[in-house]
Amino acid sequence: MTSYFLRRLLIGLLTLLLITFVVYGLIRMMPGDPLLMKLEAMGPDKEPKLEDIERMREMFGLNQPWYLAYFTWLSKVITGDLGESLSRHASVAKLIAERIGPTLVISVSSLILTYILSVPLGLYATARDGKPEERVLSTLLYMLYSLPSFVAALMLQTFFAIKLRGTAFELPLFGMTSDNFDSLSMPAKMVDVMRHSFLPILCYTYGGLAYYSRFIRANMQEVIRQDYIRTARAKGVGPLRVFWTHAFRNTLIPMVTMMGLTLPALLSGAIILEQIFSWPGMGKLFFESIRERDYPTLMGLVLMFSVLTLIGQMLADFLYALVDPRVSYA
Amino acid sequence: MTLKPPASRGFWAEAWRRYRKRKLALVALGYVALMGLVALFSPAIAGTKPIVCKYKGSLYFPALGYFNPRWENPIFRTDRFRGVYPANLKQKDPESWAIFPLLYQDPYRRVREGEWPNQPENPTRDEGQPSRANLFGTNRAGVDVFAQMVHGTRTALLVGFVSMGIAAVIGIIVGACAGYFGGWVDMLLSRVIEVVMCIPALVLILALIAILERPTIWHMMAVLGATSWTGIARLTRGEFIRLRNADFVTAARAIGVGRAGVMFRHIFRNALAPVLVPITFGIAAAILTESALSFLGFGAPPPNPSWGALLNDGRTNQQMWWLIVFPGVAIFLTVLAYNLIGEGLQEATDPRLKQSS
Repeated sequence: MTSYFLRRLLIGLLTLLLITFVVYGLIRMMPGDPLLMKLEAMGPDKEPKLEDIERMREMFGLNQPWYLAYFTWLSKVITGDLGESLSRHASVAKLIAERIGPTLVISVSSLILTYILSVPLGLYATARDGKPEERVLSTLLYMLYSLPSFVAALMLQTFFAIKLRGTAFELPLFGMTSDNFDSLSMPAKMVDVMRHSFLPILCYTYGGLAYYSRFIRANMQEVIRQDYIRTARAKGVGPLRVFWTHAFRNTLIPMVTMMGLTLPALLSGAIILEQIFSWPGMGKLFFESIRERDYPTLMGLVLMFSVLTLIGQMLADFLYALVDPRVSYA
Repeated sequence: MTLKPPASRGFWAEAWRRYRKRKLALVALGYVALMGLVALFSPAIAGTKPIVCKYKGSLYFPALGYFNPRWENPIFRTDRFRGVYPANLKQKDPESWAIFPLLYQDPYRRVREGEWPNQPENPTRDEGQPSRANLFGTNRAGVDVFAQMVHGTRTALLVGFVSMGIAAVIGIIVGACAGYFGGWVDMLLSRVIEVVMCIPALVLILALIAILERPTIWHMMAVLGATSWTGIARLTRGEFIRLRNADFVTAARAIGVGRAGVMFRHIFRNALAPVLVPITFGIAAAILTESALSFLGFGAPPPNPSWGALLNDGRTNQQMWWLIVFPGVAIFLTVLAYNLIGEGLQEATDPRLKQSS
């Protein structure tokens, strides 16, 4: 098994090189470069000197063709240096570190909520299979699953921030903190962040909730048809015990592998949702750096997402072998 | 005398029989068909150009201009109609007659006072609540939302079919080659699939759109297609690996069927059913991505009514709830319909579930 994962690791590294190379090329091919964006932001009244521009181009590595600049970037990354952001005065590593917190606030609380709610929902749907209440529940979940998160976000915003304005249920439209955040006491700060994060977490959670409970129900139905369930029933095990110890424990296997695959989503943030709620997380950073043509930040983020995706896939396979003795990679 | 056994139903007839049993899936199919009709007849449902008109002795169909501006006869431009038909027709040719669309509202411009009998001017700014003249209200510029949504149906439908068509062709060819040939071809193509999967879709889409000078809706569809084929490719690859050593394939090879013939006549036709399922789900995803891109402001440029662009309007004017609710519900229902069709297909074509029905 070790050799299997070693080989996977090697192939993964190769894939990583390919991905970053292609993305670097694509990014450099987008029209406009960070210099232009910066000059536009400076305003027309300041006429930059030609040698200034040349100096900055050299500093940013824009005077090299992109495939050479890629290797400059790569050699720095290997030494652990992600570079400096072009549009902000900070290193890429620091920028990412700043944004990870807010994204985790949303993704982790949403993941916990999803697991806490979807397991009982999925099990309830299996136990009541075919009954009217199960049909209603499943249809509702299916509709939630098809509801685009940005549509839901906009509708919730209109409802909570505009329609309920002035009532006790009013929720802030966007941002993570209020303007007077620094002057608040510690518990008031917590409440403030919670009020701000309520809608983003809700929008982030419901789709996953619908997906997971359907996933759990589908797996349970598959397991319940197995012979060993019939055997357990035949030898007189009570229905509750069959349900929990024989059926449910076996649906944990696909759930564990799913956890590996959700790893990248935990840190990548949701680009559109963070944009709608102006949530200062990774997704927003990604969107902003695309707009600012901030090559190093963009590359840093892409590198991180790709590493996480590849690790997540490997982790899923590894966990699969760990929890299911039938699987081996010998 | 020989006894002929009753002909057994074919695979697709059997699948259709089982699909029909799912009411929701049937309703979804009906919804998509209805959307197709709305898209096809959009210029006849809402517009300001006559469907048919007799002008200076000949028949014209100016409403076709909504499909393609070149299909609107240039005579109306040289006669200085400026897009306003009712008054100009009367004034420039008293003998003329015209059949107008059901609703006199334009998806691109504001309808003014007195253009159409008994119809008030479209309100502007945030005063355009839904009313009798503007069923779904108007946006800040006074353009009717219902007309934009009817014409946006075309975009939504096209995006789904064209981009998934492209994705299906790429995915099936790549997956078929990887699965059939195996070895280093498989190794190489699998890496390509992995790379495309790992590149954030937004970077790929934005970069590809950014390379183009003036992206149109067709470019968008091509880009969406070029980025969303990986799931189909992986599934096709799996099916081909499963089937490449089946007896009927060996038999086909033995009687001298060529490589392409074996791949696409024999294996692919047996792999079609499972591949159709992710294609249907992909249509839903493509519609979602297109509206999300338009929503973020990266969609096709303006003279192109899109549900996502309407939502984007609503995002900056959140007190105008009608800019959010109507397109939002339309996107939701469409995605839901394709998901239901996909699920219906999955259950109808999955041989493991045959006994249970």
